Amino acid sequence: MALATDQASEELKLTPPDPVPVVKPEKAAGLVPVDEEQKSRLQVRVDEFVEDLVAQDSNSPEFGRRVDQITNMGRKEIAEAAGQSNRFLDRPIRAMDETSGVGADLAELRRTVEDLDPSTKGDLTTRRKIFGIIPFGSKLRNYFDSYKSAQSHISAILARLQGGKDELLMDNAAIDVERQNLWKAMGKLEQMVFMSKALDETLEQKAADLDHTDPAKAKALRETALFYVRQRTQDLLTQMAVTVQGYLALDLVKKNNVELIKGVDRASTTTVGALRTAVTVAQAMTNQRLVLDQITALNTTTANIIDATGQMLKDNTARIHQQAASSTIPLETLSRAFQNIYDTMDSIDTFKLQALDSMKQTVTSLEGEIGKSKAYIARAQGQSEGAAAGDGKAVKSMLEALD
Amino acid sequence: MARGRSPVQQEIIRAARRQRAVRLHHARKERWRFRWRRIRRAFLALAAILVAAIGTGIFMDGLSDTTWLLTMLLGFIVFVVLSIYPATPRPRADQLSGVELAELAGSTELWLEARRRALPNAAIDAIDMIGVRLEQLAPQLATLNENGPAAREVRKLLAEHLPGLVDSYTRIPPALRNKEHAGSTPSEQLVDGLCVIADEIEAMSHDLSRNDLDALATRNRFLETKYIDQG
Repeated sequence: MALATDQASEELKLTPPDPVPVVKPEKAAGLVPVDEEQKSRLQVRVDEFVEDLVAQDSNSPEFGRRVDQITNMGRKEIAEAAGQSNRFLDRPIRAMDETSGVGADLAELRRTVEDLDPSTKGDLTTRRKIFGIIPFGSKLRNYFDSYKSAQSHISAILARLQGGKDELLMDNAAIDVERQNLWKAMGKLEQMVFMSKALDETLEQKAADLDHTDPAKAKALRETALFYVRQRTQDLLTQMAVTVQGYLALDLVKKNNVELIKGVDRASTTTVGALRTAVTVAQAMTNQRLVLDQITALNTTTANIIDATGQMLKDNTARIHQQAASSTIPLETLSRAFQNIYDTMDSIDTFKLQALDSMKQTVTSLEGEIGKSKAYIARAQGQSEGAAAGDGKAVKSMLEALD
Repeated sequence: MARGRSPVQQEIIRAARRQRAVRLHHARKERWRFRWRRIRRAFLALAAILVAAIGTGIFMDGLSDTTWLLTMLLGFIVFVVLSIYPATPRPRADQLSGVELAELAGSTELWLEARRRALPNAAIDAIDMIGVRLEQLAPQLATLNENGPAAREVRKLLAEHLPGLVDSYTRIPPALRNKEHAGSTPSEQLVDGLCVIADEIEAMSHDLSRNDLDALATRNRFLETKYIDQG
């Protein structure tokens, strides 16, 4: 049958995205490029800072204060990035929730549609008989009457599905915004990573230069400044890894949502399609005008909202009319229309299972990484409070990312 | 101030000066409202005493001159006492911690204004800066949850760190305020500290509005995806 093959060839394929791999700190840097101009400006800052540091007596409090600046380097950037990437875990995964939202609506739609499925009704073409002997009414007529009572329910579910789709779109919009924020945060982190690496190099070189002239200062540089710089580099890279992973994970959620939106669209169109087919088949078989006003009203909105599938639906309707009118077995056409709904829902279900799996993997690995960075942030918090309590004097840090 | 400042910040400070007149006008209006209430109360008490004296006079067929004199004296004393006490509330640092969150920014501003004269000239810019930022923060605090971590941070900064900084400066005898200690003079240290607080208030204000900023951007993006991208 033309219709059946058409829809089979356009079979709905929902592909769940792969889980986000664990990003190793060593590989985290370099995702967001730092341009050459910024690099040179940061390098200037680093050089000035090192010059300034070396000019101080290594036992003076001034020297200590500058070393403190190193330990605080990038604290703001890390805290900001951490706040952003933790949000991924707060994000409710609506699609995966079976008890509310789109998941629940799809399940309800399926139950309602199953009640209408002609293939579960036995042989509808036989006449109804009281006590199996006396002919009384038509099974088919009763069957089509059940559509009328179900239509308001179905249209309510479909409207809710559209609402759910809007929620998914809203989620994706929020993800877009969050990803933009994360991208910015990663840019800052990247600058800090560059800076701390440059600092490492410059200090190393300076210490080597000083080895002959002022071994005490060289030792101080290595033991305090350089030590903290390396610690900071590690912290920054750890946070960078978490942020990159959060960034990728958000993309995963977004892709899932996009697939689910496709599924919801298809479920709506196939349902409306089946109902239309029922109208046509009813007319062909019982000469009964099945009036499904609410569904007709829904047709227009559905077709408007879902443009691509709506077009397909329109094309098919003409064909259904022909087939239903001409075919010797119109009920089979109807059964196929129902089969389409089931196929759609089945593929959504498989998709959800697979997506849930990769989501779970992503969440587990991200949670592990976030745990690591949290420990650091707690430490940094303590340090900064100590510094605030220590003296009210504030020195503008030279070690800051560019805007 | 020792540190060079960009023209942008100068502009903000100039705007802050202009706004300061308005701010102080509000603050003074508030204070006058309190004074008027006090004076009204004093007049009411005086009137009550007079009415009572006249009533007694009618009831007892006239009072002696001495009684009238004493009544007048009593009325005068009550009037004077009620129009002076209770004193106009002048926000004190230890009261700041008890203030409602919604009024915290305003009270801090008044408190700081009261301290303005005790602080060095160099700090005036920073105080104006803090004033402007408090103005910006005030409406945000009104909607903030009293027990949230953000509220705690704001409270700590405004009711603890800021008064702490200013008070520890004013405790230093004026003669010592410009003598160098711990790397720089107390006056410079005060100015630096005030600048940090001003920046921090700005950062907090930005943090508090982050959710709203995001929400607006999200809604915008949603409208784009729903009505434009899909044709």
